[in-house]
Amino acid sequence: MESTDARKSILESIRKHRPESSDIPAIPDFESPMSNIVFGFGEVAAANGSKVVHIDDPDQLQEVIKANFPDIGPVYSLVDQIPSTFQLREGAAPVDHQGIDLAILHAELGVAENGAVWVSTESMNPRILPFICEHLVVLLEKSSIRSNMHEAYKEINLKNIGFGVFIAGPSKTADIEQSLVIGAQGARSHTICLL
Amino acid sequence: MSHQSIRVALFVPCYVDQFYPQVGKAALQLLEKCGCTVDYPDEQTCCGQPLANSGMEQAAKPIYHHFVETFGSYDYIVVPSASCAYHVSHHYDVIEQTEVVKKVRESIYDITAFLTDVLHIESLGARFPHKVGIHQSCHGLRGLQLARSTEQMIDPYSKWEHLLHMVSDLELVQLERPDECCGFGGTFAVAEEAVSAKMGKDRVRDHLNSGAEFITSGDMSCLMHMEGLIRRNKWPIQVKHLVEILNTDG
Amino acid sequence: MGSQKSINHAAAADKFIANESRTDWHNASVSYLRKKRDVGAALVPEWETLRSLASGIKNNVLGNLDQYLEQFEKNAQANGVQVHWAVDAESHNRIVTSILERHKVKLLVKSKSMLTEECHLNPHLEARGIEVVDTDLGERIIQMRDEGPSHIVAPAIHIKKEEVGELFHDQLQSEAGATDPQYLTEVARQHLREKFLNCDAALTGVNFAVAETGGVVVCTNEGNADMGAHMVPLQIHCMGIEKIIPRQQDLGVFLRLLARSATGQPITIYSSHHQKPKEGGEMHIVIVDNGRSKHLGRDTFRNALKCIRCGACMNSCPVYRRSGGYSYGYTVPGPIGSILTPGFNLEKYKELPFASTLCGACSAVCPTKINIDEQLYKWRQKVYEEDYLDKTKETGLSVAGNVLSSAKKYKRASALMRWALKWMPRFMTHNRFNAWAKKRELPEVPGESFRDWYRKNRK
Repeated sequence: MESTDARKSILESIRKHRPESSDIPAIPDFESPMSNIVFGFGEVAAANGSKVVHIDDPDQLQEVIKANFPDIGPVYSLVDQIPSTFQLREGAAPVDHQGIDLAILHAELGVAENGAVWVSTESMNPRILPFICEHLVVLLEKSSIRSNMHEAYKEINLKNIGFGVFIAGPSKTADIEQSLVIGAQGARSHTICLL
Repeated sequence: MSHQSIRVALFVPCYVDQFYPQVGKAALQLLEKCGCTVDYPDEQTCCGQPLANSGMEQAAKPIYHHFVETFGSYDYIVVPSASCAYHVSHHYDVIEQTEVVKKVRESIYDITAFLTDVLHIESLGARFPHKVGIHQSCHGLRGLQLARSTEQMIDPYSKWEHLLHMVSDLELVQLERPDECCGFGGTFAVAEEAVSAKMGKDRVRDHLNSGAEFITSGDMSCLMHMEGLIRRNKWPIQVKHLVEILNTDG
Repeated sequence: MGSQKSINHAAAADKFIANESRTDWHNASVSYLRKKRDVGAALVPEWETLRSLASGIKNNVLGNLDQYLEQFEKNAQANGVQVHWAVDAESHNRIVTSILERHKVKLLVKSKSMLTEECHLNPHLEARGIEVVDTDLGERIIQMRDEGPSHIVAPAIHIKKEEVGELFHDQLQSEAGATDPQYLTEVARQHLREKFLNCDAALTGVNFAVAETGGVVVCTNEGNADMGAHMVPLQIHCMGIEKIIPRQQDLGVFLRLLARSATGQPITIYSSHHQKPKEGGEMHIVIVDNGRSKHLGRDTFRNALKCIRCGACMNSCPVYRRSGGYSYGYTVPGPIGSILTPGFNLEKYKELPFASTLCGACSAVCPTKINIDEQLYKWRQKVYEEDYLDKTKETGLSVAGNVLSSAKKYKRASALMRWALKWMPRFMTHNRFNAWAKKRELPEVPGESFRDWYRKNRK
């Protein structure tokens, strides 16, 4: 088979051509330049175009949705406090999720240095959800915020998941004359409810 | 200060020798003012960079050997060109690394670094009552690290500024792009004539916009290129090698 | 090597610069990316340490690439991923086609992949009746214009909004005369949403492939890679062998550097980690060599394989910004392109190492510390050694070399030159054959050289 032969010849070619091995560097811990990583996370997230809302109780989520999305259409929710209103047929395919106006899900981690949140198949199904919806709301506990990517990766085990993504704001592009436009192919807005 | 015990050889690059003798004179006088005993070895020609940058390093080797032979016996080789100093120290690695070759590569200094790092000059007694923009030549900036480039995320420093701050009544201007290349690049200036001239034009315009009366640099080749554009377009600005300013009378 | 026509960078640049206001606009657009990079990088106190780490990790990868690839394959297969190997572009295209044909794919959505550009996958699939839609906005624009990318991160950076407006009006029936990027992006969103909802398969490039986990990471701002990959059962990821990094923790280093180096963003909007196929789906990874393992054997040049495709060297290059991406005649333009291409075909790309002033901004900005300017210098030597140097240039320089290695000859020749420059009529020194004097004056010849003065006054 073509691929098997190719595998052999590529690996052989690499063995023939590779340089001598050097040690892999250890990655040290880096101190955060932020005095308060929760506050810092909020600032960076806002700079990325995310909306950051502070709540004290998950029950306040309802009010937040009402206040920020007064005329919202079909909602698909993965959090207990908000009911889903989007109707899905039995055995729905990813494509059937077209039409979700607002998706709400749990974020597992937040990263202060870049304002990103981590969501994975541990807490989200289907994978298309945060991308196909028009608007996205994530619920993030303040205690789940880490200072930087190194700290975040210490808490993630990629081997255990099917898919995971850092989301750092609403979908955007600057492909036309470097003008920033929010709402390229994915969600048009990104709201983080900090609990 | 006295550095008379140090044997300094002055290397005057070929194009400076031919077209800008005043730069050679200023370098010589400046070193003498600083107390050095300076010799100008008569056998000197060129460092070989024009050939090597064109891909003809192999053909440049006889020039390298001639250079080493000419300058091998001195404590320091000082040249008013960061580019030549960079070439000798970094690219003479293709000839056999004999003791004298190693010594030459280690003892060649661009005059800026020689003044700041070897002579530790703290005052000059020079005066230049003009607005001046520094053209940070690339080989000086990124090659010899005479200043921090905008790419580097480290504390800023500049050996050129350090010296120019010692000149009375000289005002340094702020440039929009402090370390954009001027587009000279040796044979690039003719092989890529369009890009070279455009880069030079953009560079001079930045200095003009900043209100500079003079562009100064540690490399005359960059200035030769920009001067060619300035004279053709009759722009109201002049070029002066760093040593010409440092060598002025107070 | 065939007798392919060489890329003439200088001529292409000359043409590009002829429209000076557009050159200034292009320079400013690209410079803007670099300025944002400086701001973003400055916010990370350990920036230079991260660069050293990234460089060190990549060095380790190059020395152990075979083992990491095997480890990656084993872990990917354990995750239920099907791994394919392709020695060159043709075999890559064949593998992708056979997967698509097996699934009777009519419409493939693709997210940005320099590798599939390198392999010319699109025309290959189109010839077999498979529609391919590039879904990154910039990529879609150039695809509709039937062009290649002019920049690896911002593929349509050379195109003006008025031109996008016309293009969309012609092909997507948007309002005539529209130039508002917000409106034009919305038009593209609706157009592409239709494609996502109707596609049969999705293909993405790969930013990083992690040996330890068997997964791949894909970074986008638009979310287009995810809109495709998660929409349909069949997802394909194509990667060059050099995309491997050893450990999950290495992602921390590279994701911190990548977006900041590219656009100054602290991270791309979406950094997607694909580990396993979705339920009832298939996930394929195609590992491509296409000359890379051979390049690994070139001592002086192998570091180019450390590139993470951030585009910072292009954004920093004063030549690229004024000559445009197409002047390089290859998918990956700019400084990194100029050190990669001579390895593929030295004769064809022999000019590219000379399309640089060796200013070194590329090396200084590179997040994995590739010594780009040094490699440009070394490729120039290869061009001469392999006898591809322009003969007029070579002869002139050989004469100069001979003169400059002897003080006697030098003194005689320089006296002659000074005499000629001083006394020859201006039309002889300033003519169209003298590229220096086209836009510049020659230096004025002083009365005496430094050497003459020194001999008279000091000896």
